[in-house]
Amino acid sequence: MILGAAEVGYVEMMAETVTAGDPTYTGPLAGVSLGLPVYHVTEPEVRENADASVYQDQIGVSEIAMETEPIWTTVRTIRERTPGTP
Amino acid sequence: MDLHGKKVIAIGERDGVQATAIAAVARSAGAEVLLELNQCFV
Repeated sequence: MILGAAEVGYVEMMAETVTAGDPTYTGPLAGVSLGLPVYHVTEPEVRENADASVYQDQIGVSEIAMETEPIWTTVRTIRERTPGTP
Repeated sequence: MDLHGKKVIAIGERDGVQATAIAAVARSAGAEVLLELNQCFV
């Protein structure tokens, strides 16, 4: 699962939903732990795998407007507490 | 993490990076994109 949201709160909610389950307990994934590996598109793990020119064309401008560090920290924290996530 | 050969779900956001862009990046890394959709938080 690769996310593109720009706000830390949105990223956290989506990442939590596809790993441990819907944290708001309002949707169909409440209590459903999918345990999917989740990344944000700006994370080095994604960028290093991608074609550099495609990445720059598609993500470069959007990335400038984002506070990426807190997003990365949030996604990594959620990933690390999900067993079996690479 | 090696994306080559992996199956990817791309969840974009209207005000962030959109799913088509995420999918293009994932494909350039050799991944297969199964689903791409955009969320809108307001």
